[in-house]
Amino acid sequence: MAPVIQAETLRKTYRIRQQRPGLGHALRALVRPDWIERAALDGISFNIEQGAIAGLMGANGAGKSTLIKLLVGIMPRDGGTLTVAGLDPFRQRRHYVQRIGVVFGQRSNLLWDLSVVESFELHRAVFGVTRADYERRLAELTELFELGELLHQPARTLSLGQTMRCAVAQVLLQQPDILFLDEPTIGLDVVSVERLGQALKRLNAAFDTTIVITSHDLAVIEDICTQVILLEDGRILFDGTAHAAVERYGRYRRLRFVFPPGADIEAAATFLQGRGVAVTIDGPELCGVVDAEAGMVGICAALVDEMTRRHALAEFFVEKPSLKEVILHAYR
Amino acid sequence: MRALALLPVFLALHLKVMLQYRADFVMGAVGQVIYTLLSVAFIGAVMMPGAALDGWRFWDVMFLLGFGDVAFGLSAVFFFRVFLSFESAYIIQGRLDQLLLQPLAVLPALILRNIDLNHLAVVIKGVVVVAVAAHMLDLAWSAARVAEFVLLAASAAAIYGGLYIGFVSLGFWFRRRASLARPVLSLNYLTQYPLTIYPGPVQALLTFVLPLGLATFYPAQSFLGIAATNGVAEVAPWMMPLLALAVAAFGAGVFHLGLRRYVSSGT
Amino acid sequence: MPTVRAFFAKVGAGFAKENATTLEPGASARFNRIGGRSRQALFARYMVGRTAIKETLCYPADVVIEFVSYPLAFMGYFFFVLAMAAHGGAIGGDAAGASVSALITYFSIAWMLRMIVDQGVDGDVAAEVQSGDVALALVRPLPLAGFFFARFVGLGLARLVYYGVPAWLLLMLLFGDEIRVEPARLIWFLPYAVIAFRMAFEIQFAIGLVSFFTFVNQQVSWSFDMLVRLASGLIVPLSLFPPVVALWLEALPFQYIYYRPIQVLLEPATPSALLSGLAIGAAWTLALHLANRGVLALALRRHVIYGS
Repeated sequence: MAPVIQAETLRKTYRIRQQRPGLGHALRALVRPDWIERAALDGISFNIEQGAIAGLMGANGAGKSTLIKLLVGIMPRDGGTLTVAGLDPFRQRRHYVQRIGVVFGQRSNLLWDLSVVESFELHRAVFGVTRADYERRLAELTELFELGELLHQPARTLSLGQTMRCAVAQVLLQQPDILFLDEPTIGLDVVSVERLGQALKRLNAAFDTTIVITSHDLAVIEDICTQVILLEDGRILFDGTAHAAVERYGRYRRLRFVFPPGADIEAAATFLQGRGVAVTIDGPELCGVVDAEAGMVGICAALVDEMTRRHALAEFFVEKPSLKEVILHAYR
Repeated sequence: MRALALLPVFLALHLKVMLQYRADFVMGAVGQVIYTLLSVAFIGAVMMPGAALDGWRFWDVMFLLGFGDVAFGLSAVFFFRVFLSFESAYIIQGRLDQLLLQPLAVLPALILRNIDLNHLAVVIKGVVVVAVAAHMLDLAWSAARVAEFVLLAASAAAIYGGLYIGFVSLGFWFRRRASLARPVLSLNYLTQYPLTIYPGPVQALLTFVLPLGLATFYPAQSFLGIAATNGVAEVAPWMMPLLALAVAAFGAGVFHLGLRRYVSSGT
Repeated sequence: MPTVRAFFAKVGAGFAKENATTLEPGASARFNRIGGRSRQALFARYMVGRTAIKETLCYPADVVIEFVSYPLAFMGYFFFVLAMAAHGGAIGGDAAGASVSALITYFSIAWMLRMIVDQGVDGDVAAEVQSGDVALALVRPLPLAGFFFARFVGLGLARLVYYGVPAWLLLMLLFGDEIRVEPARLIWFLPYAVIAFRMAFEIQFAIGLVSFFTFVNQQVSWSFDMLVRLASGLIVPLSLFPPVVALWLEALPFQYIYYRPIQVLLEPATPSALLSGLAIGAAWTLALHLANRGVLALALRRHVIYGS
């Protein structure tokens, strides 16, 4: 089966107007304005399969927002091809948006002064959902997103977490094939993020809805995404599973040696460096990195043994790199 | 007052901002010109050449229009932005709290920060209209007359300002989503014309309750030497500054009352 | 007529219960004009308009405050005209024979119309574009213009009720003896009023569209509003302008918002003249509508949507 999202050498360039100070420049700009061109997306290619939960990641300005705007059809592309659910998002926008659901994290799509259910009713009318489908779907979504008592409250009384759950539920009323979420977790507390993430997983499991999320929140991406696309400067740095990312870039383990106050950390550091482990001193701790290869455990055990006997080691940790660390590592 | 000392600082700041947004100023000026055209068109269409309305001829009415613009424009430079944005920006969004933390009296600080030099376009337009009208009326401009005009205009501006501050202060007691700005500014439409055209109660309203009419009509009437027809004693030029101070003081007083309530009740 | 009644019955039934099926691309061929996709589109717009009315009713104080500002704005014109009339006969300028009654009636109807169509659509569109919220509108299967027009219609109807009616009562109270309307001419007035309504929207929407290309603020909107007020006959009936000005203004579409509809009500005219006027007005409105469509399509190609 063809992937539901297919992008081939996708390109988008922005022309940004330069404003120079001074009256002379201002006058000249009227006739011949200064433009500079910036490639927000520089010929990227990727596929997303139906039923995947894909996370788009990258620093600010890496092209995430541009990509999602191209994917939902509100901006035209400048080069390459983009096919989503068999349609050209921008050119066939009117038909296309019927098949997708979009939530922008910083903007609420709920009616401010009226109840959530009124928003839903309006949404149903706009998307042409039959009354029967709507009732059934509302029941499903209420359960999935735990909307219960929220339905009859005006949107302005909801907390940010509640708003986000309602907003996502609203765009699912038309049973879209693909759900796009642009920074859905900004401003949300840890519990809300967890709740939203679990709800999205349940949605994906129950209805095979493809989900595309852009986020800064690596915890959520690591937790629910089956595919991770990392963007930098308009290019794809990595495209694969989170597991594969950690495997590829995370072939190391972090060691932490914690000492009691008064211990001679310098001596311990020298010792470790003598054994070929590069360490840095961080207060009462020594941090080092070793490759995650066979025999690593034995080496660590021997080091710990020595440190305990000779240098009064108090605590010891072996840590697998988090996705965040792997990403940061990949940038260097 | 420290505020007065800081005035040049803030004026320079606002001037710099205005130069940044030159296009805005030009657009605003163009809008003002069109608005004047509207008023002139209406009065011109309805008044027969040579007709007089309670002693007011076409160019007298034009003079009143220009005078009103000068007064409104001057007051708008200092009070317009405060009038429009006080409730939403300062009370609802809480910027008032920031002002309270500064070593400067609140009302002057509020005014200094919200100076809107774009309304100088209105003042300039008003001066132009007054000059043209005065020329058509063969008015002689001696130094004393110019001084009198400036004094009357400044007093009128102060009365407008006091009124706006008074209305703004209502935000301390009543919280609404829409400000009263639109209706109060609409009153300016009424004071463009000689007050005598309105029925008694309306004249009384615009003279004693919301003294916008008082600020412009009577001074212009005496300046132009037109006989009063509605029984209100002629307002001598020297009375205007006193009235202005009274209204301004009243407005400031209401503001401080409201401020005290705001501070004591906590946000 | 049976077919008309059947038509309305069908539409009504469609609104009452579930109507359209969930749309799929390519299914349009299956639906005919009434029913199916057209009915769904109509229902969507009906709900948009209804929601707009509900939203304004959440803030009754605002409704009252806005109402108050209108009489304050227009009373001056009325009293000035009456004062001028009290000072000797006919009104001046080029108004040979324009009676006081005609002028008062003119302003009454003009401001009633204004209260209904003056909705600040340009400001709403500009606000959505500048904040980036326009993105939300674009991911709905309802065209942007259609969305705003649906709101315009809903709010227009509401404003007819809670602004128009009280205003008319107030005007009758104050100037009742001067206001004279021929009931027979209402038949021609209504289609002109419909065109005025649509044209007012297209013009406000057009100004709002400018915000896709350049930063539009209050002052720009206000300036255009002033221009339209002048050219449309809201402040001065076009017949009172000097002939050379009136000639220019009659070549423009704005007259169809106030001047033409009110003239239909005040002045007798031949059916052929009325028809041709209606046709020209409709043509102008269509032209503006198409221009707006083109500009919007261009705007979406070029515009960078802000935020995040």
